[in-house]
Amino acid sequence: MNTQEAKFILQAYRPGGGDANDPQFAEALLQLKNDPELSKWFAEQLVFDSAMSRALQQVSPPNDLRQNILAGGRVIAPAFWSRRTVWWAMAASFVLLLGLGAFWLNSTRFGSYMEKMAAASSSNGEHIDAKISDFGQIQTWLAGRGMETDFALPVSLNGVPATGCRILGWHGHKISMLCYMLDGPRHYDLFVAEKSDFMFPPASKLSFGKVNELSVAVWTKADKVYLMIGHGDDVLFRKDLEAEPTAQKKIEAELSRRFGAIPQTTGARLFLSCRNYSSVEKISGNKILTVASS
Amino acid sequence: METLSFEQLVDSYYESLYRFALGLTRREADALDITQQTFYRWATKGGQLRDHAKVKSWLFTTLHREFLAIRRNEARYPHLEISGVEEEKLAPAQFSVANKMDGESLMHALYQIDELYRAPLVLFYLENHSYRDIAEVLGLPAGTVMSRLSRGKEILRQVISRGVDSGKIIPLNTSNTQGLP
Repeated sequence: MNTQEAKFILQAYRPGGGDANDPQFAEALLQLKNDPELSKWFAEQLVFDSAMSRALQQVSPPNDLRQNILAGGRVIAPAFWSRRTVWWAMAASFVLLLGLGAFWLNSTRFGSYMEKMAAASSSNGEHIDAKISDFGQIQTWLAGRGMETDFALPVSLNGVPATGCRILGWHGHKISMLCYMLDGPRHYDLFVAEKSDFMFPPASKLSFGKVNELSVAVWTKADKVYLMIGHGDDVLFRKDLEAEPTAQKKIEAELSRRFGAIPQTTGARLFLSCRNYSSVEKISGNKILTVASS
Repeated sequence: METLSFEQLVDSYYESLYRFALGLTRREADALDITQQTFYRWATKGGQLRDHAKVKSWLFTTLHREFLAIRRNEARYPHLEISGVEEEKLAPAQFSVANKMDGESLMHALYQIDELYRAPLVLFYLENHSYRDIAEVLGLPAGTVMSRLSRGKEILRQVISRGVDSGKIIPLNTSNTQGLP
């Protein structure tokens, strides 16, 4: 560092303050001890600076400035954020909200929903509210109680008579339950909820699991979340849901969707006849049923 | 750091802030305005400052921004206030520091220096700001502050020297010496 550089740096130096420990000045200060000319120059600088500072300290504000500031400060609402009590209240509220949020998230997570529905499915008490076997009538019954009925049954349950249905409550949401007793014996309960009932609804892809020893299958479609709980053989349960719908099942599903449940006696003939065709027409009462298998 | 009440804050900083404001604005009325405005900004927003050790820096930075806002406004709508014209004719007796000639002389000397150098000089001579503090307040790199202090002091010496020669500035007492660090 040459003398000019040292002078440049030392112009910003103020003795007796925090600058003494600032490494930026270390080399220049060291040079002072070895350079008498620089030392003399710096002494003059300090005198000049000191005089300037003293002069500046003599500049006094008008007498009423302090009072004016304080008066203005009283008019302006005290800084909300600076009130310590408010800070404590905010902090406490935040912790409370965090706790409530964690509780809410935990209670509204899908796992909790499955556990509650599994408990309802296994309940020894009243299992269904209405003994209705026809899907169309179940829809009417549900719609009459303010439920959404634009949901689709899994292919394995299309055209299959139900045992009944029920409406369950869960965290303020209404859940539709359809109960099916199939051969095997297989007891399936299908729960239908809205996607919006969950913060993190499950993926649309069909997935299987176990809840309290019961078989469960979960999938979503459109704005609905489907949960099927099976009491019985887990392998059969999966097979019922995973089986690729045959042309017949597709036609059955389509017929069921369009016209509601078809009596087995009528349908059996119809279904039998459709196995070798990609489409089928049948007169049912005064209607012509046209179904295309895809 | 203990949280200061509004009154304690005012007592701690209002004089320094006013001196800085006066050094920036040249006009006492503007200096009073932005000093008060700085504290009102604190009253409404200052509590958001998490680190109370930075209160001083916050106040000086805010005051500097208030000054820049005034200057921008004046640049956009240039005007010459009547009081300003009168001030020119009646100077130097307009300041409240009329009976403190050394202080007033310094101010008059500072006013002849470009604001680029004047702002860091005033902060430096307030004696409670390191060059790093000054850099933070003015939003400048530390190296730039060093450069402006160096150049500013040189210009200030020249201005004072010219003032003494013309009799406009009363010589400052430079007989006191301070020890080397």
